[in-house]
Amino acid sequence: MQDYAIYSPNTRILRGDDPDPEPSRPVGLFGGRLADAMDELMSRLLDHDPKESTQEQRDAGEDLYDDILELIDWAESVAPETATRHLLSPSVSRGSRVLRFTDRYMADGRNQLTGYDVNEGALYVLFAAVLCLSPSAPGLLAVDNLDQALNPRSATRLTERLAVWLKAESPDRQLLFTTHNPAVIDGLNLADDQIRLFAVERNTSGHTRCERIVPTPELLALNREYPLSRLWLMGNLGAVPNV
Amino acid sequence: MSSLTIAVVAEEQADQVVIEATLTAMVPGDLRVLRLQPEPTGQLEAGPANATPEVRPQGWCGVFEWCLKYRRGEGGDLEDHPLLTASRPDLLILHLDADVADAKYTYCRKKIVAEAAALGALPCVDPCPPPCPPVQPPADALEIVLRSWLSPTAIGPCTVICIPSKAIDSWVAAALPDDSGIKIEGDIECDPDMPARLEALRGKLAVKRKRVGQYKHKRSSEYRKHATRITAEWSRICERCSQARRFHKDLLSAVEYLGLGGASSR
Repeated sequence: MQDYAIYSPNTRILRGDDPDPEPSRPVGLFGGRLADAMDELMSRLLDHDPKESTQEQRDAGEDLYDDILELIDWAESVAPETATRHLLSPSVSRGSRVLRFTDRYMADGRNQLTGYDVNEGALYVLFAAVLCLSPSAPGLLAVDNLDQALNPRSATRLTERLAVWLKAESPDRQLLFTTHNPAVIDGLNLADDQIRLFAVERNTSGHTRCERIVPTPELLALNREYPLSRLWLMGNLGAVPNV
Repeated sequence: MSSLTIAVVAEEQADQVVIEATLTAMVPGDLRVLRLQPEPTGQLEAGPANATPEVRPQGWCGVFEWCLKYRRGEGGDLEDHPLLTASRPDLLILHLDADVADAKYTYCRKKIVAEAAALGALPCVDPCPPPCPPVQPPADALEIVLRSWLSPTAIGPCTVICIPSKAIDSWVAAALPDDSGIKIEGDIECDPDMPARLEALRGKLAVKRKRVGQYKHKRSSEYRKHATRITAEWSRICERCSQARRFHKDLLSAVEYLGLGGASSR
């Protein structure tokens, strides 16, 4: 247990407004250095030397980049750039790079947004992608409230992609995350034994218990009728407060 | 003309992108487009061999699952379904690619296979319609199957069925510039290799697909690259693709029914 980290992303730090008190690579524990980490990731995914790589490798890199972009439906592209190219207030703290997004709906010439301007959901998507796809991310990592700021459908889609990304690029890496958003668990393919869901709750003595939601035949039958999100909301999976 | 709300049930995100581009061509003004999807039930069961890693119901199986959810024992029109009352779409579009006529229910997840057995309806009506060309018989057979998925709920005048042949890729191909270099053999709507032909195009015209295991799947961003062209070249697409003409005609009829008028009749 030497190579692990627990992340708690924070919107202001993801934007680069505030410095990360726990800087690290590829990203800080609170989400600092996101633009630099995306730059490194995109270089790895997209900048293959034609002589040193196969078409299959180049296609796989493009597929992963496309996977990320599909989760930000308004963005035509994401491209980290050096901070000096952008008009930013001197009061804005900045790293060496800023994220530049191209908005597909805005007019050419006025369709560039930086990480300081975009909706925070896009930043959380990139943050999760970096942790799953960057070789320098720890072998065991945890993210507190991965679903922050995400639309329910986006949260489901992002959760689906996490397993795909990990299996594609880092099959030995283990990701633990907490969520309070039912839509997230609809994205878990629990038919795959490597993907596991645990209900964390307190018993009548106040002790915290952690129980794996096993796809038993009974649960399987229920799930034919109800998505996991509804089963959770109805209390059938546990992990709901007594309110 | 006031802004319309159009709900779309499409096989894939990429299909949704193309359909939205065609709607922009046909219906003037801003549109509110909703993508309707079934709830992701049955995710605890292992998927079929060709499934994408996504948990949500995918492709035509997802459309099938959506239809089962909206089927009502008491019948009535689909657009009057209580689930649609919150968003109140003016129009509803149901999409399937015509090549689904050759598919099998066993491609879907187990839950769907079981439902299909109870329904007794198959995408490819037995005996199968003659293969494309002509375009119409398999598309018509598929439309009958699509209606059977909803039956006894009926498809009302504000619901439009969209069945590109063999797949929506033919509409992308029909919109390409003359010098695109695409090699189409025979009828553009009957070419089963259209995705591969689009993928082989040069530069930014290429519509690449992503590989998942041994299968290739559509990338929505690749179709989005062509969205503006599809809108601009819609009349040309209609000239070349009979199913696009049919979609256009049916959509105009639905808009007329709403009493709004003003849709493009080019």
